[in-house]
Amino acid sequence: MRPGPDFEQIAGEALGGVLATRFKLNPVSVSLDEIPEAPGDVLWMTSSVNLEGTQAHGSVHLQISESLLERINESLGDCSHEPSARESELADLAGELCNMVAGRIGAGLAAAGHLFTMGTPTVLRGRGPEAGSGADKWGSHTGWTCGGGTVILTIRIQ
Amino acid sequence: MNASSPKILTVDDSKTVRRILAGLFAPFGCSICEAANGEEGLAVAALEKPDLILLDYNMPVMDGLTMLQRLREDAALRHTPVILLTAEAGAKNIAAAARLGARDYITKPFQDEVLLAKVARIITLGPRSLARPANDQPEAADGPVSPP
Repeated sequence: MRPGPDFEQIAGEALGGVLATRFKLNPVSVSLDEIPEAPGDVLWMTSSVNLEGTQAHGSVHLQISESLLERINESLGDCSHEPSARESELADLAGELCNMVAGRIGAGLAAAGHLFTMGTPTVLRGRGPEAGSGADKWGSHTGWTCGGGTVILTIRIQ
Repeated sequence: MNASSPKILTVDDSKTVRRILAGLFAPFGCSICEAANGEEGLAVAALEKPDLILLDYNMPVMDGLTMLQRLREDAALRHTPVILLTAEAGAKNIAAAARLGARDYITKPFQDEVLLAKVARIITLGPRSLARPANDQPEAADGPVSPP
């Protein structure tokens, strides 16, 4: 696969499309240097979706600070108040957000001539975003703020 | 069917998807009921007699295809229109669902406009309410974002 697509543009349009269209949030690009690598007091959820193509494969990773996830969750209404149900609700939301963003990224890559089939999302919860640049052979690793929280979106293609 | 308030049953194991679907159709005067898997979906369908079912394919306990098959075996529910919601990778499921009489399908993640158009072919949606749904609030002005 040639590194033709502008991954950062595709990532920005995908994230902006999901957050602006459905949640009226407007993500603003920030330097990854402005995002501390291991803020011990901040919880993050990382959701991932695999991309399978005939010539390449890869993945989309969406890391969201839990404060932003909480805000998006509240905007949907009908929130759980019991702690374990709430955590499941946030994990489900993180997975669906990644699914939506990955769907738009897949459409962007398809428009550039690279077809991928999406897998189902997996979700991890932890303190601090995943370390490392994230980008593999091709891809992008971008940071965003909106709604008082932070998002890191990584596209990895091999 | 009550044309002024059609009833939609959403069956999906993702609460997020169910909430998004409720937020999408409630402003059009639809009454929404929901279930988290096919087994629950059959029970709710028997009770609520929905005008349309939006049915996820991959679910625990009972998947969408099995629920669809059971619906078709139920004299009271066999004619209830069903739109299948399926992951992109599940395209092969569509033929099986069509054989069981699913009226249409949409791949997830779906675009709102596409789903609304498919639903409007089956039930009559009312005029969209001017009231904003819970998930359609404008973003408040952000202050400076503190480092996490």
